[in-house]
Amino acid sequence: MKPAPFEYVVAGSWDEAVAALDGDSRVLAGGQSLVPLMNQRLVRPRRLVDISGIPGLIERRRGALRIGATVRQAALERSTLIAGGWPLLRQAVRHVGHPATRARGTIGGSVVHADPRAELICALIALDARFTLSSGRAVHGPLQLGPGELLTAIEVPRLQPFAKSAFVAYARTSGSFADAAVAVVLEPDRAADAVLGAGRAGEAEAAVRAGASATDAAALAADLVDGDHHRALVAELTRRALVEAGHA
Amino acid sequence: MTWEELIAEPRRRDEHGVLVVLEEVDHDTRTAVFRRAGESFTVRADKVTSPSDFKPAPEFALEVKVLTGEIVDEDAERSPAGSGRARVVAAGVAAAGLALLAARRRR
Amino acid sequence: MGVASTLGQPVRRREDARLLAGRGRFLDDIELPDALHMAFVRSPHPHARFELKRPGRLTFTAASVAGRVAPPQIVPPPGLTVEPIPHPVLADGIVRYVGQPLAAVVAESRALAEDLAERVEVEYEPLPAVDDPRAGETMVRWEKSEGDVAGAFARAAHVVRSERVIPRLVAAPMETRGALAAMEGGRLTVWTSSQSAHRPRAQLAQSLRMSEDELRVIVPDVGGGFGSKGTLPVETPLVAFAARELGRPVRWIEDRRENFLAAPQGRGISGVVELAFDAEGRILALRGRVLADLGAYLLPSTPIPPHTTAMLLAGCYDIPAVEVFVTGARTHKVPTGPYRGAGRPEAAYLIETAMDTAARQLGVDPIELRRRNFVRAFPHRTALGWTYDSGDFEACLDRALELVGEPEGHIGVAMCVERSAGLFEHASVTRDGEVRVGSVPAGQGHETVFAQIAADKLGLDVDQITVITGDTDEVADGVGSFASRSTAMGGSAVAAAADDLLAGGPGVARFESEQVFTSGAYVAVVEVDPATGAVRVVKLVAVDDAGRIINPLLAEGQVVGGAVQGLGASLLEAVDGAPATLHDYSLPTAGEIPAFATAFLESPSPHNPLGAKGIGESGTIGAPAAIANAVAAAVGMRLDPPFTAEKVWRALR
Repeated sequence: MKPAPFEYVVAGSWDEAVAALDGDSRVLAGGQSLVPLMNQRLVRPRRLVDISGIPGLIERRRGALRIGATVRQAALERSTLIAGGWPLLRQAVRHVGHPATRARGTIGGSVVHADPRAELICALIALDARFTLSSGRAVHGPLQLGPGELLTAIEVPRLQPFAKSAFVAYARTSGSFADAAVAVVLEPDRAADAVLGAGRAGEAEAAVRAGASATDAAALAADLVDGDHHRALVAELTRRALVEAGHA
Repeated sequence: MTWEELIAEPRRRDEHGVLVVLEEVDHDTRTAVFRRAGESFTVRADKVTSPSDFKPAPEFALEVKVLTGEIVDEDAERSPAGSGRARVVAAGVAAAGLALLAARRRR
Repeated sequence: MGVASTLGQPVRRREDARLLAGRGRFLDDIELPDALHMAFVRSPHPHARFELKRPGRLTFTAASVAGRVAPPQIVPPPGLTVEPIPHPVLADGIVRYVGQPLAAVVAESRALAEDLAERVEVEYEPLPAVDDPRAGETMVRWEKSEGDVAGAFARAAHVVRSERVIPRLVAAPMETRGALAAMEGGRLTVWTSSQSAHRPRAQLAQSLRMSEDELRVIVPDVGGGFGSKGTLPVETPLVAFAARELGRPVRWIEDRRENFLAAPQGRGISGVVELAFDAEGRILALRGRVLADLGAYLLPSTPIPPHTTAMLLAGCYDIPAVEVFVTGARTHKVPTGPYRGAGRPEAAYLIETAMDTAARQLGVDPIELRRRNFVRAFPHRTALGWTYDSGDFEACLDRALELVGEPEGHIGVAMCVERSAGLFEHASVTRDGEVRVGSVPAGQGHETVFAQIAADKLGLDVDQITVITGDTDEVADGVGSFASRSTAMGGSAVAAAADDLLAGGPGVARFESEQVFTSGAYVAVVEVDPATGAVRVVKLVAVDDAGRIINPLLAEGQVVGGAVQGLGASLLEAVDGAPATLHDYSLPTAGEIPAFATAFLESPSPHNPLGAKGIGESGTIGAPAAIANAVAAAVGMRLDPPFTAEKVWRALR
């Protein structure tokens, strides 16, 4: 399991990274998904542009959160700022791989790799996160990078006072990819319910705002996914997440 | 060193050659978190001096709890990357095949 | 003298100071700077005709090694009819499983060798593949009949039929397989990650047509074997051959993908058990049918697990009449071989689930039904032909029930009987405490147990003993570590060698004995979430009777480790359909480990001076059957492993 030959370029800044990219390049951040794929020779870039040395910060400014794309998942997990203001992210990141992979894996890598089972994407969608790109563009919702474009940061708005959140997942074993997961954020005048791999459950959110029971709202969220057992999982996890976030 | 100078440099090495990384900045409370040798240090703007001055302030003092066992990683103490204050010991749990990191942070 | 014996004491593992600190020396830690790396071209098809286009000068193919590297010989257990279908070293024109090696290349680094391997042009013509063993040709056949089975079924008050399936499993040792070979002073030295040193030497000698004197096999630290390193990989003779041909050391370290594709897999059997009961719930006769999915070829040890399954099918019950048929079928899959338990978990699963099914059908408590049928006098020759040397099955069950208490959740009980030891082992002991044994550790704790035994005999401290294993130049003879045999056989050989030394002899012994029978009772407590189907094993109780326990700490470690592997087999693991990788094959993690209660009963074996029996496989044998019975109790119907959330959820609907 050794990768096919490739060129390796270390980028010290986002500008250098953009300049080094061409049509046949891949960006190396934490490498926890890309490197195994390269080792299996399923992905064979001509050039690897390593951005892991570009500093990434977790910052709060005027109540809003900004996370640099190269911030390690482990840093996210131990951040007191995130634990205090956006606990959903800490709850979600604990389901991403194992401590060893989180020490290398980055939040930006998770978002750009866009595995439908990526727990962090599910949580960020529930938080109405915005993705800042090297081109200056900012994107809400599903991220599609253009040629030569890089994700540089993720911005998350402040939550209202008394907001509650919950992240509930079912995986076969601790640390393996979840078969299903649900992120819920409940604020006084907002309800967010994101289903792993399926995005926001608008109907379930409306039902919660209208006072429907957790069980009834969960049934609406389950309609987003295919397969009867998958639906049963999403329904149960949504119900639990709503209850954990204080909705009966 | 001013607050602005402190947070302007996200990575530096202290006088022991140990990497000190800026991990978190709260502009609202003017608080920064640095990471050095596997430990986090919080610095507030009103107390800023320099990250190389990080001494284990009382709130970060380490309680070294040596369980029955032997030191299995003496090199870590001498290496520049080692914090010099924590010891890795193999605890009395060899039956389970586990080694415990016995350094614990006092709250 | 005057040093207290540590036999029976929980002496801490002496090897851990080295292994836990990262100072172990495994195969890939052995540095030979000018070694070439070997990589294999492996079939992407389960069955295909192929043609190699323009193989390079340094490409080894079936044609280029023909007549010079022979496939390993098949050594079937007595009474088995076996077709002559050995595993070719390299495929010749036809590949029969995904991952089968058809060519090998060498290069200055592993990465370059992989580059070369993918440049070897192969033209494949896919052929229809047999996936279902029921459609496969028969490679192995065995049958046994004793007593009036037809008469017993005709007069039975109740007949119970139970049909079960156990999927194929991957052994997945932490360290994969591999070999390093170098010519040294006119002889060939082969380092290999193996459960034996002397067996690989014999196999290499046969394969390379060399005398054993021309070969030295060294086994460094081994990071787990679980049976999968008890069979010489077909790749190894080629590594040795290349080193001899090229005059340079050659290294092959199996990568994780290769380990999933090409290492022998375990289990993969289905079975039918029919039991005839009288009106009081006593078993009059057993009929068994075992169908094993053996894969594409017979490795030397491939026929052993189905034979062991059949021979242990009566479990711990006194059954006067039996009729058992075993069929080993050829499929287009990687061959199976012994995997921790190697037929014993299959037998325990078949008979113990049948007993629970019978209890339900007869309206008898499953524990009571077991009590009515236990073997109670030893030695006991079963109708199948093996002789249980000692034991107290009911005492194990009583102790297990005591330990489980009154749990929340559903409980399942399973008994187990397992053959261990047998054949011979060789050891030598010197006055200054050097012990040489043919048993080869893969992490079990040999350096501790053998030192305890030698220290006890010589009146020395355990720390004064040096244990040397895994080198055919250092240890005169040996078998190795298979079938939970190291303490009973290796340990007894050490004791006998020390006795010889103390009696004025050279301190050498070859200890021979027939096999001994470990037994035990397991109880699993499970919780099932009806909304998702998720199964959680809350507690496992393991009571084992492995004769005299030399070191209870190590013995418990073996039980717990085995039971966790059995938990993986119960809840998570299966190779079904396409070959697995670690992306889709789930292994249990620390997060899934339940609460444990373990205990030992000691019915000493009369067959060795220590009174010892094997304990290395007990957990993998008892735990899956107990978990299966607990899940059946929770779900209200019978399922086959793995008990995934989806499978259980469907059953509950």
